Amino acid sequence: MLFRIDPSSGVSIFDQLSGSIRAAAIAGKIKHGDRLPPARELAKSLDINVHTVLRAYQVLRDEGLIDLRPGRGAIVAQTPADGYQNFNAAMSALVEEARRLGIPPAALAAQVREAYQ
Amino acid sequence: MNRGWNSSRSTRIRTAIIGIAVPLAIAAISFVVMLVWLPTLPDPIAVHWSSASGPDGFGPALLFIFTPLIITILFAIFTAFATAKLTPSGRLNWTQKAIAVTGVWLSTMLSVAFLGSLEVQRGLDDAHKAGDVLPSLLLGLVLASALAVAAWFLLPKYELVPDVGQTPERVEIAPSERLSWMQRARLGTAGLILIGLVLVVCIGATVLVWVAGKLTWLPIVVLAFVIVLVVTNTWWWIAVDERGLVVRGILGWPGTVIPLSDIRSVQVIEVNASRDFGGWGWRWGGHGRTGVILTSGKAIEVTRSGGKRFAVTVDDAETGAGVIAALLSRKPAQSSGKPS
Repeated sequence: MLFRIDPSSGVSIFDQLSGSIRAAAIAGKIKHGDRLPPARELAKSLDINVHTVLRAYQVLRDEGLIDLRPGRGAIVAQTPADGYQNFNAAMSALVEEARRLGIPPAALAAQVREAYQ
Repeated sequence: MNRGWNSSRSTRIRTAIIGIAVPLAIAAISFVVMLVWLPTLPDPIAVHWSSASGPDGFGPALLFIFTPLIITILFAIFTAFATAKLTPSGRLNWTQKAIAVTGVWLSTMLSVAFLGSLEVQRGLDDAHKAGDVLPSLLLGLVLASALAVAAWFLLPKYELVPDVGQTPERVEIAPSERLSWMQRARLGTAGLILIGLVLVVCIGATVLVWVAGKLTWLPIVVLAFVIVLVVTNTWWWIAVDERGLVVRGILGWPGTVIPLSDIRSVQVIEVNASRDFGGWGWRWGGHGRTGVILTSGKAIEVTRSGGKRFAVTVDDAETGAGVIAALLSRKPAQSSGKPS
């Protein structure tokens, strides 16, 4: 799967990473039983600290999205994709509109965060 | 209009004769000869020599004489599959031609070596008195190589087929963003079956040697080596990020990193494992083309700055290639703007 982080966005990296994986699960891009990369490999790939990846994985485990087993890595436990049709539709509409207006991804994320709080 | 059809017919006939019929005929003739020799052979026969001083492994003759024929038949089936689809103009590609020639080499080498090792045992009452087999191995090597060269020239000229790949759609990327595309890949079913067969043969051979009471370190080392190969070549992680294209076996080895600075272009190609690369795993496809080929299907192919190409078959190759394209497009701006 595709992981995205933006060190200059002001949002902590582990938060961005867990958000990226959560979004992939909601969009149905990762499925039950899929294996996430070993934390060490993903850390090397994104050039970030391995503890940052582990923290993101722990957040997702606490949400019940993934299983973390020593030696077996991180496995997607359940995907919330089923109840999310409306959410996904609204999300694509929002992204479409942001593209039309030329709002960059980081700014859009900031807008969503602002609106949520 | 008719030329493509004619040349494909001629290619098929020549491939069937040289790559399949000739090896089968060689193995069949040697099988018949060995069968005729059977009554004159000691029982058990010598099947293993480790020095010039005489044989040190013994076994039943019947099992022994079937070996070249069975291996040749299996390889002929593989050749038939690998050469089933010809190039658009009805010829063979380099890999297909190499496979057909290998069939001739393999069958000749095995036949001569097995005939030779039985020949030195004819009329003996005890296989321990059997003479040296090295001369017949050398003869087999020379004959097999000569026939293989002849086969290469008798087959139609191979055709270089440029990969008709698709340029991937570039993944969106913000200037300050870091992307990592990571995908797990497993060796496909066909490759798994093949690897399973090899494993069964190795375990079987080791057990046979063990039953014969001649278990040395060699079969154990071979078996261990095959098991290591199986484990390290079955599961892979493929990553695309600032480091470039990273392909690594699950245990970290084998693996390769193709840095972004070494990638000239990227495309998504359709790979047929046996036709284009002659099998599965870490492959050499001829003409500066290598690949980690796990299954037939979509692959990311990068052309390196020296013109060499590297392909890896992976699910969702489009996205992986799209990330490479995105990172490549950003590279010049970043290297000039950001000191590191």
